[in-house]
Amino acid sequence: MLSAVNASPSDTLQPASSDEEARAPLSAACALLVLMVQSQTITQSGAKTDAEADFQNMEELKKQLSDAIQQAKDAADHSGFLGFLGDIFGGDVAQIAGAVAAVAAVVATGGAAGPLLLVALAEGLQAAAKLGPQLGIDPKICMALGLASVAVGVCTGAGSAQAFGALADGARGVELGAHVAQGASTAAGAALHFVSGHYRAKSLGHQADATSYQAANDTKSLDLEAALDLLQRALKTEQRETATVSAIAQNNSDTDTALSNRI
Amino acid sequence: MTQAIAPSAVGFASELAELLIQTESAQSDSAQLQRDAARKDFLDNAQHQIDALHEAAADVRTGAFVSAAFTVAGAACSIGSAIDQYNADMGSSTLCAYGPKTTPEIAGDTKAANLLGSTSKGLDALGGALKAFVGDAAVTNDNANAKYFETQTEKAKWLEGDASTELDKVAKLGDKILDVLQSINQDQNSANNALIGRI
Repeated sequence: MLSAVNASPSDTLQPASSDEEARAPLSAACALLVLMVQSQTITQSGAKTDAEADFQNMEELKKQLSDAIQQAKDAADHSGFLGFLGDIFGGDVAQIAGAVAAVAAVVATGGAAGPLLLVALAEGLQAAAKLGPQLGIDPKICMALGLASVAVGVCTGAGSAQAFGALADGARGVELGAHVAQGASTAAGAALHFVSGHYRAKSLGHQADATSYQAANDTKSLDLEAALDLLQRALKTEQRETATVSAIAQNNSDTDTALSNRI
Repeated sequence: MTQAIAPSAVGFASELAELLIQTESAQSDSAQLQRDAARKDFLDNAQHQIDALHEAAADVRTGAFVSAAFTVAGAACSIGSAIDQYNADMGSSTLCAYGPKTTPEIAGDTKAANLLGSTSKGLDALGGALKAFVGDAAVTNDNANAKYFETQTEKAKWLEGDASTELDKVAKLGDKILDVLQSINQDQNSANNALIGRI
């Protein structure tokens, strides 16, 4: 009777001939189970194919996931390095250039007022030298103040003014250069920060790709698990159905034997 | 004799088995549909999560571009301001101490320097604000969306697991159906044997 399991459904479900009339009830009982066994066989085949395909896809997805993670890591490294350079150019170098420009500006503006400051200093020293004896200051000190006044007065001549003018011009040039350097450094820092941001975006994009591959891998894993479950169920069910068919056939055979013996 | 008795017995068993199998099939189909729906939800939410992460990456790039563009423009204005200021200072240094304090050219340079300086500061501030608005805020929003869809993805995964568990239960029900079918057949045969014994 187990041969009926391997028979086609059309053969099993055909009307019983005269030779098969005795087995007609048995065939009717087993026909359904034969169909079920055949269904389980088809299910097994499909589950095996699905499991193999899912396993191959998972291998490919794991490789793609690994590549995406590595690319994200490389992009993050580039982003970090370029961001560091951007911080240096846009921060430290620009600040140093700004400080140089500020010092140069002080020198330039102080240089322009230098002759006036020296004139004022000379006048103050001269006044101190004159008023010192009246205020009770040591005459030697008053004499020294007078000499200093003369010395400073000599320094307030035209040559000194020209020298201060040249220094101021040089300081203005330095200030301009420092401002240009500050602006260029800031622009370079901004450009580096943009490239750093671009690489960070690439890193995030690769991370998104990795998430995509991970999700696909999870899906394939679930599919593989479902396919294996289905295969396991199909094998178990087929075994149970075959055992049931055998048991029914055996039981019917025993009944027929008992009936024959009785007759 | 067996032909007269067995067909009805086996027919009853077959009909019962068929009904039970139909029930099992319906339950299995239902669980399978739930699993497919959960799988579809999983894929949809995962795709939304990935789209949100890609949008976050694009917003990071946009924010960096906007910030860099405004900063470079501000730096260019700063350089222009410094050049104009230099021209104004150099023009002032050549003026006679007892003459006019400025000239139209010096005044123009000074005005341009002040204008460019103010523009530079404004562009710097605007770049920072736009980076926060276009870049950082949008990135935060996209990340929040990605997190939401990640949660939905996990939920769909749980539902898919529940559906798989239901499928397992249905499969166990199928085993019970086979046991019932076999038991009915045995009972019917026993009854037939008893009846034959009585004859």
